[in-house]
Amino acid sequence: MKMIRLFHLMHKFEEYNEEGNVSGESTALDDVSVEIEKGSFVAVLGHNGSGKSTMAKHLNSLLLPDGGTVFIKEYDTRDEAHLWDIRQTAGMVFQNPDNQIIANVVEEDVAFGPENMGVPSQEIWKRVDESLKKVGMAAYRTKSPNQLSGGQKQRVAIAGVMAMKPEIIILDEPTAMLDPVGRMEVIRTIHELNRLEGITVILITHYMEEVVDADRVLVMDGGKLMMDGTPKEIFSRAQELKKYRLDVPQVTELAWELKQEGIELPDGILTIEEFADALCAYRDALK
Amino acid sequence: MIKDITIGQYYAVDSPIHRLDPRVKLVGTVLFIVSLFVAEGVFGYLAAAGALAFVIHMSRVPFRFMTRGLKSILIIMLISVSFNIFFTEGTPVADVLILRSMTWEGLEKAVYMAIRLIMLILGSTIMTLTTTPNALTDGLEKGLGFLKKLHVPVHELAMMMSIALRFIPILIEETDKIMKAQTARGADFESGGIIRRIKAMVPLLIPLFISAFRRAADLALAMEARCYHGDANRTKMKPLRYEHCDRGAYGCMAAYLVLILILKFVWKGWIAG
Repeated sequence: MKMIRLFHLMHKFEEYNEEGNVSGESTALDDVSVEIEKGSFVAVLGHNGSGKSTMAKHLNSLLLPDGGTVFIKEYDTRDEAHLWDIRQTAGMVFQNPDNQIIANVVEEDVAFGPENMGVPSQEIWKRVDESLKKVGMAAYRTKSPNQLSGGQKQRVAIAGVMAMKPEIIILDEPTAMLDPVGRMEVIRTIHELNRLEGITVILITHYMEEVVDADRVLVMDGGKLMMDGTPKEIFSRAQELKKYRLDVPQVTELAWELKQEGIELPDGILTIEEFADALCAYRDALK
Repeated sequence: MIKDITIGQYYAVDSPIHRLDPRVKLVGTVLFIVSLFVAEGVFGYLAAAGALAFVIHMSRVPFRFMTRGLKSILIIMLISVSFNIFFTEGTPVADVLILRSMTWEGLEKAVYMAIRLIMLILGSTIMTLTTTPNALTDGLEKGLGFLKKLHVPVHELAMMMSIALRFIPILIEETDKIMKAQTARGADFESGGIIRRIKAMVPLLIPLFISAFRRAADLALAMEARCYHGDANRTKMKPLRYEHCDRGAYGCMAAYLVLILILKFVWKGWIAG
């Protein structure tokens, strides 16, 4: 089943001059068409200003198309009657952990979504318990968000989305402001949710290492969808990625360079283990 | 650390008073203040003091935390007491020097006034010491819910209050960061007269405001993404519900008010008779 369908999505921003009048338009999204399968883990890569965040906001009806159509399940995002269904189905986690936590106590923040949806109190308690367990934050439920680390705050934000029982979670650079430990925590959590709960994940990022384990990678540049494939396929096109000002993971780059020098290595090596195996295989072949 | 500061003066301990519904405490505080102005005569004040002592004892908050609030009103108290002593008509205390303008009636009034003020401050301090700012916000939202019929945006105001409480520590931390960044670039916040110091605050306040607006925009987006649409069809994880002890507390308050009224009329009769 297709969870998300974009048909020729266009989005324009108006540009303003110094007097505050409209001076022109810039196209943030230009004819983007893509379909995303239920339960998949899709990473969206792109340099700053490539339109990836704008696209994310379209998936939650925070922005509406200037052209084309966006469907979340069977709902058109322009259909106001289903606005709350769409926002409940496609939960969103933002970049800055501080600016998306509303309540002064962890458990009350997780409850914010269900409260808005009008879920009965007892059910809210159940959902809060479950969601905090799923992200491994149950021990912190009565803490103030100000006492948590960035990674923990981001997991609370994910729990807040989970409590709304979404089918899709869109994460807009959730790790950009975190330290390496926090980044690992968050990425592990979303992989678990994808694997164990069957949640469709859209991870927007510019960290290559986070993309390696995705089912599918979309590369955006200048508002257009440029590449679409598995991480292996995408990273074996290292030259093309460079054109979009993106780097491949370090091992992939190293493998690619070695290959240019005439060492027979397979395309699209993504992890250090894979690289080591490939090198060993090459050594054995030489003997 | 700076981010560990607590807002308000909540004293965390488990007591029957802490566990009361915030609405009960709000109503109780208002009633107590009213009763102070209704009460008359020695017995009335004794009853009020007794009730106050009982609640203070029940709250299990050390007494020295209560008296802190009194320091801030010391000057106001001194002024009002001396006005009462010197400007009340009546029999002078004695016929020498300054005592000539002091009256017995004034002294009596001043003593009552001072007692009243002290008890008023103590009474309201108990509420803030035993109720978290969040609970207080919830209590205000639910307790003033009837104002919604008059189109007062009670829910929105309460939401704003609780968001403000959440962001105060964050903004304080941010101020600290900006201050350090500006100091590193040669800004001087410490020397010079008042005017210079106020001027030095400008490069601190502008970035702070810009960042606060940015945070507000982010937060609004995040709230919308989580289906926030005001209080229509909104439920609560922890709805305020009256328990037995809350009803009991209301009963005690009613009994206390009746007692104060009875003592007032008894006192009046006694004076007249």
